[in-house]
Formats: sequence, C-alpha cells, structure tokens
Amino acid sequence: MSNLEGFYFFIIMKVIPSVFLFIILFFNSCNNSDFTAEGNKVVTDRITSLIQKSENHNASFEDKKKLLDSAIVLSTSISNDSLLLKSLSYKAFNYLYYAPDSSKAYIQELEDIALDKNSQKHKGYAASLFGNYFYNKSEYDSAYSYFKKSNFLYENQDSLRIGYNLIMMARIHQFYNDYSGSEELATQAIDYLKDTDNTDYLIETYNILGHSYLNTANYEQAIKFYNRSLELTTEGNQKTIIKNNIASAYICLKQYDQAKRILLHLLEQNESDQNPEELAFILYNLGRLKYKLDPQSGLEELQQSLAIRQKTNNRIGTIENHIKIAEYFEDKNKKIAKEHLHKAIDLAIDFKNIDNHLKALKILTRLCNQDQLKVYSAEYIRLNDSIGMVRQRAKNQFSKIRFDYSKETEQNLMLKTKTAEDELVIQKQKNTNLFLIFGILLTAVLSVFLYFIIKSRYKREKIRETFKTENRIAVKIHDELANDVYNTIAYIENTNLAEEAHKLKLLDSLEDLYIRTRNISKENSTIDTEEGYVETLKNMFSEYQNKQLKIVMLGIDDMGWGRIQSYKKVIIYRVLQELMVNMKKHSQASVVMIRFENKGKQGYIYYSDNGVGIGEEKIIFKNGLQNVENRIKTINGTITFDSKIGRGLKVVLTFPL
Amino acid sequence: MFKKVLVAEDIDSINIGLVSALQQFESIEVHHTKYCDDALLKIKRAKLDKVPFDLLITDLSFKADHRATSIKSGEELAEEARKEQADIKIIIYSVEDRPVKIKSLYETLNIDGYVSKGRNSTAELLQAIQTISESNCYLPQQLHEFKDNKLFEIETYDIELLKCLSIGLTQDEISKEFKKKGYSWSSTSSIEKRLNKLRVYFDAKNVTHLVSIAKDMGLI
Repeated sequence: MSNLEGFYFFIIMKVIPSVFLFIILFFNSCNNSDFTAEGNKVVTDRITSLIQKSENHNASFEDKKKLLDSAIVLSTSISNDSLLLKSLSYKAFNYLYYAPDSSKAYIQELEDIALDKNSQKHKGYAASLFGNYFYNKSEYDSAYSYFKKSNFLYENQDSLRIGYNLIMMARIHQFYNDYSGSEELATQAIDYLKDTDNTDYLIETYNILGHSYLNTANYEQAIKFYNRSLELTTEGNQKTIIKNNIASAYICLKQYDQAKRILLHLLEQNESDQNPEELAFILYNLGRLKYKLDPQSGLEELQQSLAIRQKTNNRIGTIENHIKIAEYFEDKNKKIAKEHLHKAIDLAIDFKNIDNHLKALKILTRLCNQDQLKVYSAEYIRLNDSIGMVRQRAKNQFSKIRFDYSKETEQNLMLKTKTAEDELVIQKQKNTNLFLIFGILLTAVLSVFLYFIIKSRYKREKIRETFKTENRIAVKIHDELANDVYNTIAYIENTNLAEEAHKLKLLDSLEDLYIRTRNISKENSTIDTEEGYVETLKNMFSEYQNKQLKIVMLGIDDMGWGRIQSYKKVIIYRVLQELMVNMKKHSQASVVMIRFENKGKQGYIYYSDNGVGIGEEKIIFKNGLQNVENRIKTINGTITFDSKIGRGLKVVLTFPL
Repeated sequence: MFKKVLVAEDIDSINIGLVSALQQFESIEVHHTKYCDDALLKIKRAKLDKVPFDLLITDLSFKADHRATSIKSGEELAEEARKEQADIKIIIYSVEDRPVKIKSLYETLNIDGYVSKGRNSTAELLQAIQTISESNCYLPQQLHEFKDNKLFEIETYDIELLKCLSIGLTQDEISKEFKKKGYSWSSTSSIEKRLNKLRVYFDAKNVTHLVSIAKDMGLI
C-alpha cells in the first residue's frame, strides 16, 4: 500500500466545495414555493427577485447579505413562511460559503424557524448545512451525525440532497480508512442520484467508489469507476486529476505501459495549461512509474514535483514526495534517504498527517541502527495503535449513528403505519356507524310500514271474524229458533188457548225457545282467560254432565295454562265446547274422557267417548265439527278424528304452546 | 217481612210483571226504576229520609239507551248499593243460569239471593223473598245441582292402577308393587276403594269391564 498516498492527497484536494454544490441543490427545490395570497403578489415578486439577485456569482458577500436581509424582512411582514425560510436558507448558505466561522448562528436561526414552522424540508437543509459547517472544521463526528440527521429529516423526499449527504458521509468514512463503509454509502448515493440531472454529484460519487476500490486493492473495479467518472466530466482540470488516478491504478496493476501512455499524454496537455499543481501530480506519478520500471530512474521527476509542491505550499504532497525520494535512495544512499524521511516526519507531525508519519517511520526502521530502531519501532507501534483505536472508535460511532437513525426511521415508519391503520379503523368505524344508522333507519321505516300493514290486516281479519261470527249466529238463530218461533205463532193462531192443555203446550214450547236462545247467548259470551280459566273450563264440562253422562278429566291442572296466550285459551274453550255440544246431540255416550297433556312445545288434548261413533265416511263437517277444525287452524293446531260405528269417537287436538 | 222494595229492571213488561207479583205481599211498598243510577239515587234518598229500602231486586244487564249512565250493570249497582247501605238485602233476577257465574256473584257481591228468569221464575222469586225475609240466604236450584255435579278427575295413579290390571295383576300384587314404589296409599283396601270409584265413573259393571272401557277410550 506504499504507493497510495497520491490518491489520498488527491481526494482531499478533489473535494468539490460543498457550498458550490448547495447552490444547485437549493435553487432546484425552492422554485416550487407556492405563492398563494393574490394581494401580496407584488411583494412576493419583489422577494423572489431579491433572492434571485443574491444568486448572482458576481455580487459581493456584503451585497448578498443586504439583499437577503431585506427579503427576510419583507417575507416576515407578509407572513409568507415558505419565502421566509427560503431567504433564511440562502443567508445561512452564503455565510457558510463566505464566512464559515460565523455561519453557525445563521444556520441555527434557520433550524429554529424551520422547527417553528414545522417545515421538514428546511429542517433537513439546516441539518445538512450544520454537517458542512462541522466538516469544514474537520469535526467529522458531528458532521457525520448531522448529515445522517438531515437524511432522516428528508424522509426520502429529496433524492438530490439525500445523495449529497450520503456523499459527504462516504467521504468521512474514507478519512477514517473505512473503505467498505464508504463504498456502501456511495453505492446508496448512486441510487438516489442516477435519476437526477446533477452530474457533479455523480462524478464525485464515482470518484469516491474508485478511491475505495483502489484502497482495498480492487484495482480493476477502481479503474472502471474512474472511467465512469471521466465520462461525465467536462472540466479539463477534473479530467486531469481523474486520469492521474487511473494511471495510479494501472501502476498498482503493474500495467506500466497503460500508465505511461496516460501520464505522457497528460504531460503533453499540461504544457499548454501550465497548471503547476497538476504538473506536480503528473510528475510525481511519472517518477513512481519510472522507478518501478527501473530503480535507477525517476528521481528527476520526483525532485521536480517536490520543488513545485514546496513552491505551491502543498504540504501533504511535499511529505509524499519526500517519502518517495527516500524510497529511491533507500538502497543507494541511506543518509540522503534519512534526511528526506526526517523532513517528511517533521511535516507530518506539523500537519497531523498520521498515515504518512507511519509510512516514514516504517522506512526509517529499515535504515537506522539498533539503538534508533527501538525508538522508532516504539514510536511506530504507539502511533499505529492510537490511530487504529481512533479509527475503530469512529467506525463504531458511525455504525451507532446509522443504526440509531435507521431505528428511528423504522419507528417513524411504524408510527406512520399505525396512524394509517388507526385512520383506517376510524374510517371503517365511520362506515360501520353509517351502515348501522342506515340499517336502523331502514328497520324503523320498515317496522312502521309493517306495523300499519299488520294493523290493517288485523283490522280486516277482525272485521271478517266478527262478520263470520255474526253470520254464524244469524244462521243458528234462523235454523234453530226462527222455525220454532214460527211454529209457535202458527200454533197460537190455530188453537184455542182457553184450553188448559193447549196453554201448557204453548208454555212448554216457549220455554224451550227461551232456553235455546239463552244457550246461543251463552255459547258466545266472554270467557275468563285469567286465573279463572281452568274453573270456567271445568264448569263448562260439568254443565254437560248428568246422571246419564259421566265426564272424566285427566291432567287439566298440569297443563300450565298460565303460560298459554289468552286467544289460544279462548279457541280451545270454544273447540271443546263444540265437541261437547256435538257429543250431546249425537253420541248417546255415557262416559266421556278428556285428557290434557303438555309435551313442552305442543299441547295435546285427547277426547274420547263410548258413544255410537261416526262411520269414517260419515264424518261430515257440518256446522259444529267444521267450526272445530276452522277454529283450531287459527292457532296453528291440528285435529284428528278416529271413529268406528259402535266404538265411540276419539279426537286428538294438538296446538303449539 | 220487608216493608220497602226497589226493583231495577229495564224491560217494562218484566218490570210490571214483577211489581204486580210483589203486590201479593200487602205490606210491601214497591218502587221501581229502569236505570241503575236512579236506583242508587233512590237508595240514597230513602236513607236520608230515614225510610231506607229493605230489599233491592235488580237485573244484571241493562241495555244502553240515549241516557248517559255512570252505573251500567246490575253487578255495579249491587256493589254501590252495598257500599251505600250495608244492611240492604239484594236479589239478582236475571237470564244467566250458569252455575259458575251465579256462584261468583254470591262470592264477590255477597248477594242474598239469585233467581234465574224462566218459566216458573216469578214463583221462585217470591219464594226467595220469603226465605230472605226470614234472614236466610236463598240458593237457586242450579247451585244445588252444581254442588253435586263435580267432575271426576282421575290421576296418573289411576292410570297406573288400570295398567296393572290390564296386564293381569291381582289387587294384592298391585298393592305390593305400589308399596315397592313408595306410594302413600297402597293398601289393598285403598286400591279397592279407588277401583270402585273408577267403576262408577266409567259406568263399568265390573273390573274387567272397567279395563275394557279404559282401553277403548285410549286411557291405557
């Protein structure tokens, strides 16, 4: 790895001034600011033009400050938050660019107001500016933390800035020799940047990747990425630097011809450019190349390069040149070699360039005597350990920062998901509620509708029922009474009532009429369906009982009448009454048995008598028995007759309880 | 004998008939009305005049006509009259002949007599007045019959008894069987008694006939 210092140096020089990058970045995003208030159009136009004027590269820092300050005052006066934040961002940025040491307060101001207005975009921008602020001050820990925070705040919303922050973080990793970390971040940066039109960032990303591969001895990969970078680069200066890097990679690959061709070509170009910094770089690499090809050559180039770098005060370059010259003289002249190494070490200590310090010490241990060896070795080990520790610690810290933020991002994501879920639940609940309300309303409307339908149907039914009853009674009166009344009238007309016998006969027939009329009234009178029901029923039966007819009851008290609805009880009463009437008229029975049974869901009533019975074919449902069937149907009950002539009649009634 | 009687009856012919029938008792002063409200007023007035009625004879149902009335039935009138004058005797004279209904009138209204309108009801009414005037309660024929005419209610025990007989067990064996089951009356004499009752009710000539009837009627 002794030949990599040149790239290291290059990287430091190659850092595109971060502030320059920011201009592009900022400009792009702030064009979108919305200008809402129509009445303030003039003022907002004025503010916009002030900000645009401040972007002019020719304007002095003082002018820019004045322009932006008036933009800030104006935006505050019209309470235009987006313009205020934009102006503040420009101000902070300009301070960072022109007066980095005093910029912190302005960045802080931007952050405070962004927090106050809760602008995620500007919070992210402020964090990024802070990162740059600390980066410029070489406080890489803080810088790293801010860049990471900035990316966290952007929440994947702004690819360009996230890419920028990633580049900066990748750079910091390289400063701590953590190339794999750098590679990872740079790869991520490419993902963010490839869809943007900002080539500067991509070029830088490819360079970082190339450098990472170079330092992990993956030279072919390094050349590949340098070439990509080169393809995008338009600036001659940058091209020279990248080509130098490619040449270095070829040297490492021992493809000296390729390297030589590139370097000679660059040298030729440089004669017209006359850029001493570049020339020193080219000569340095050329010297190394020549030394590799032939250990006796290359000194001339290295010394030229050293002279130029001393003149341009490029101290790291100077250190590297001293080390290279020392390597050249290692076998030829130990004294000169030592001199160069001591100079390198002095400069390295001065510039805190630990890597080159270590490298110089390493070569020195090969050149010195036994006593000195101990001192240098101890120094080497101490330095190596301490730098190793510092780097490891930094690496750990970066991992921790990244881990913390990824955790936070995850939590943020979870929170968002949860909020979304909650909203979904609320929405669902709303829907459910709406549905419920709708359902209830519908049910209510339907119920009212149904109520009226049922009510009117019930009314009609009732009217029909009444009509039927009236009809039945009318028929009965006609059949049973009218004829007899007419006969009585006829009898009175044609009979001499003065005769006692005739008078008695008249009285008899009148009494018969009276009793039958009373019976019709009785049959249609109201029935007690409450506690007195069982008693009423029993009395009804007992009215039919006499010396010739015995009625036997079973289970009437265990029927659970209390739980049977009144209208059913009325029907049952009437049905049994009809059966008894029928029995009395036709059966000539001497024993009637009535058994009640409650089978849970169904009620059973068994009637049986020992009368003459009815032939099956003769069960004619006339009047009474027809009524029995109709009545029991109204409570969803059934009736079955079972009879044979001479064997009595059996009737089974069932009805739902 | 009663001195002052009030007849409440909405049908004129009955009213006149009743009044003329009551004329038999010469000592009786008969008043009559067609409305329950009037009847109550008369009772109140007579009470105020210190010549209260001794007896109220009322129908049960009063047909509603053009006059708005507050007391609409004989039952209500009897109740109000009893409230107004606790010692007034009340006879209800109506078409109703159902024993249950009549019985309930005695129980709830505490009436002194009930006469069912019929062919010989005038005579019966006079008989009732006579009985009541001798400070007795008059019970109509229907109620006497009603009391004797209780329905025979058999129990599951009886069915079991019949079942045992039908499978050919003797009365001794049935007694043992019932004892085993822990029935309270399982002695041969109780079984004998019960069987006799069943025989009477089912109109059976002997036990065999009884079992046959029970089987025919689907009891077992």
